[in-house]
Amino acid sequence: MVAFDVNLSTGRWPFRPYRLQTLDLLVPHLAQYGITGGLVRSSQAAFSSDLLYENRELAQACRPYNGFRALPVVHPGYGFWRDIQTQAVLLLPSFQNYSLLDGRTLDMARAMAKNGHLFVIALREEDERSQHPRCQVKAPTADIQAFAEAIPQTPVIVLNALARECGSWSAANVYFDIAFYEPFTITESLLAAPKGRVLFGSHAPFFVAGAALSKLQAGLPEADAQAIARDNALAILHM
Amino acid sequence: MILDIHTHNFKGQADAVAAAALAHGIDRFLFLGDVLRYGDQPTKEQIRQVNNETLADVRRYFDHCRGLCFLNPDNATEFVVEEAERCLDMPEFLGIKMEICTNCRSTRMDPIMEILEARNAILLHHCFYKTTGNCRFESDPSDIADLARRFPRVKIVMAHLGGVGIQGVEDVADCHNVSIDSSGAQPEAGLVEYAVERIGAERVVYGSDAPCRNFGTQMARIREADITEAQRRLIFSENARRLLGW
Repeated sequence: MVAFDVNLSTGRWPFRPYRLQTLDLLVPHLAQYGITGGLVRSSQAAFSSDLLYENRELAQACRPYNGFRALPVVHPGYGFWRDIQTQAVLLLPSFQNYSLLDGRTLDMARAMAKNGHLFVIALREEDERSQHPRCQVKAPTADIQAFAEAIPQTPVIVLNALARECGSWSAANVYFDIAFYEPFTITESLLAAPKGRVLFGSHAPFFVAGAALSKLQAGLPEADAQAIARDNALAILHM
Repeated sequence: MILDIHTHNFKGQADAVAAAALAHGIDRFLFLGDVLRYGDQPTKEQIRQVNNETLADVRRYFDHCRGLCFLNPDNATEFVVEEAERCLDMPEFLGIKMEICTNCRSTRMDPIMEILEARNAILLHHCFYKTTGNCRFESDPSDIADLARRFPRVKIVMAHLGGVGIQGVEDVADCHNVSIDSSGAQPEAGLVEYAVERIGAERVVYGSDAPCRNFGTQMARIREADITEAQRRLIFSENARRLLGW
């Protein structure tokens, strides 16, 4: 199975190092599992005030790796969002202390949607129970539906959602990945999920990449597994 | 050989858990009981019911399965001792499971630990560090370390490496009677490697916490860990077999 991973990170996460936190280590590791491409975001960007710097660093880090696309972060308070060239952009509302439903955020989202961008939202990076005690970030789960409804023609990819959260978003433009999605009856759950809206995401290097792949190898029909592994993502990313 | 030291036979789910375990190539597994069905203060009648259900579930899969006896130390001591002895007299039970009824620093644990020591059976104790706040009696790794130092000859398995993290490994590092099961939360990378480096592969055991979690996902933590194949074998089965004598 060939997979496109919408949930990859690179760089140093402030709270602990990860063995595969640089792409020269991560990309060959992913290749062992058939993960040959993906969207890569910056771990450092979550708590950085210089997002332009983080985006440039990320673009440079991704450049040698064909198939792995840099996912720059945008922020409604940083005007450079008007100059972003990539189709997919990252929003980190909880980490960067704004709401998805602020007027300024929605204005940015509508303007970018009009220009053909799509949005990736990292709901969380860690299990809330394991966050640093001085840095607890609440996932903006409740805001996803209204945000997606404000830009109904634009894909909104939500990363690191729990299975019960995924079931709470009925908007047809909400897509979600499977990194945190772990019901015991995983195959039945994936088959019951809205067709085309489930994407492969491993959350590597935070999580072991093989864990996400195992969810597609537990009895899912091959066509459904391939759709989640790659085809659904490529369809919305126009690749 | 793969031995999963941490699965639950929640009411009505034992058959599904057993079937999935076998389908994933797990040869042996422990049923730890429906330990949260009655909240954090189950009565003695409820404790006995949970254990009787575990007994019945284990008997259906006896070729592959054993159980742990669930206890609430805050029940009358006479009952706690009687129930522990009743279960451990049966070949279906290989040790005792503690959840969140009593913090394990409590001296109410003492009669149970004395039974385990006399029988050379294991204690598998729930454990977590939660930034969001532990439950009122829930034990954290520093509590487990306290218990382990008071009863250094009892074999303790501290549950949930994924829930106790690096701090949890450090808390019990010098408690050589404590092993850690690999279950708990999402399959975070690097924790198995950290535990192996700090306490040795001989003190890490594979556990899934199914059906709260998924077998494939939880096994990937071990399969993908950057450790030797010999260490992987220890974690997947040999350590648990040694601890359980099974």
